[in-house]
Amino acid sequence: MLALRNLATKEGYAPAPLKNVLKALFETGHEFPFTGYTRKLRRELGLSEIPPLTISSPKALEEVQKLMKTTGASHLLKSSEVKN
Amino acid sequence: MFLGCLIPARLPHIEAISIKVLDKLGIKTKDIIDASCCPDPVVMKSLDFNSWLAIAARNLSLAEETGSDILTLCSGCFSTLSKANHLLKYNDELKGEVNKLLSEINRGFSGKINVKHVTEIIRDIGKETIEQQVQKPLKHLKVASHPGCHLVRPSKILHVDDPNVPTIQDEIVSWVGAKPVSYALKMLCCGVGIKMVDPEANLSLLREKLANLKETEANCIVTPCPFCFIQFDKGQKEVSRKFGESYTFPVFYITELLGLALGFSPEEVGLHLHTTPIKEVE
Repeated sequence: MLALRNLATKEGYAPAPLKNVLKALFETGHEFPFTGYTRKLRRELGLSEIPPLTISSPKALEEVQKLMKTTGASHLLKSSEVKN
Repeated sequence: MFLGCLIPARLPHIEAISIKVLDKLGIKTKDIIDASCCPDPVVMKSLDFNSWLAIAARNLSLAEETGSDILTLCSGCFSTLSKANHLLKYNDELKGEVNKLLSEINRGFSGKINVKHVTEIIRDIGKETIEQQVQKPLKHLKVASHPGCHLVRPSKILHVDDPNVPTIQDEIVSWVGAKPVSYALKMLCCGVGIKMVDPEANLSLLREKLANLKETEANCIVTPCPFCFIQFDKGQKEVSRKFGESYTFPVFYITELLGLALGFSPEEVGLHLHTTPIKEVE
């Protein structure tokens, strides 16, 4: 089943909302965005505005993008590579 | 601690109270620096398995560098990281292919750590310690536990709980003085996993579950999964509107329930940030 889904994706049949997940992952390293509201809320809760994740590390994002390019996943979407 | 995306980006109050609760129970957490999305155990794996595995392996390698096991708050992250860890530990061919990919970013997977969900950590702390720490027994709560799909299945890999009759959450509920409530559709998916591709079916599944809960004495819901949390907390409103019914169950993430029992204020727990009002059970 998984192989069929992967094949369908390669043939362009993946639903658009799923492709958006791929796009977000490639562009930020994360599925969900850290919005201005999130940052404000995190500060109010005593947390760092942006956690020390890929979102705050160009080098980490570069690694994720390299893996996605090598495996071919990045070719599944039309997206510009995030330049550092 | 592997933060994931959903909790730090959408539910940071769960991150905050989880750290406080674990600290009070004697467990210090440290974020895994530079971690990315786990990635998603349903969407990303369905789109491209190789990419899913490679990114998961990178996250595992970051934890391996710290020498510590991974603690996750999210059942989705737990599912991805546990399955990837298992696949790579016991399939040398896959491990070789993934390590070839990781070598291009100067990383590698060796398979020396384990992945744990916060629910397991709380269970392992144990009844005696938890009961000693409880300052406000939650005697007024009759709690329906929703385990969700990703914490318990596939049980042969995850080894967390009985996949058909899970009991961990009910045990924790009783340790904080609340009453666990059993119900027929406990193992039914909340529906959130299909929301992106079939919003109608998503709400129908949730309605079936909520309607079943309404037949019981439950006055709130607890879950160990942030996706299920959002589905219940926000989805009740949508189900009520769509079907002309009324569902207003207060919803707790597992460490929120513990936080209240350990004496943290409703504001510290973040109850004011819930969509479904929770005043009735404070």
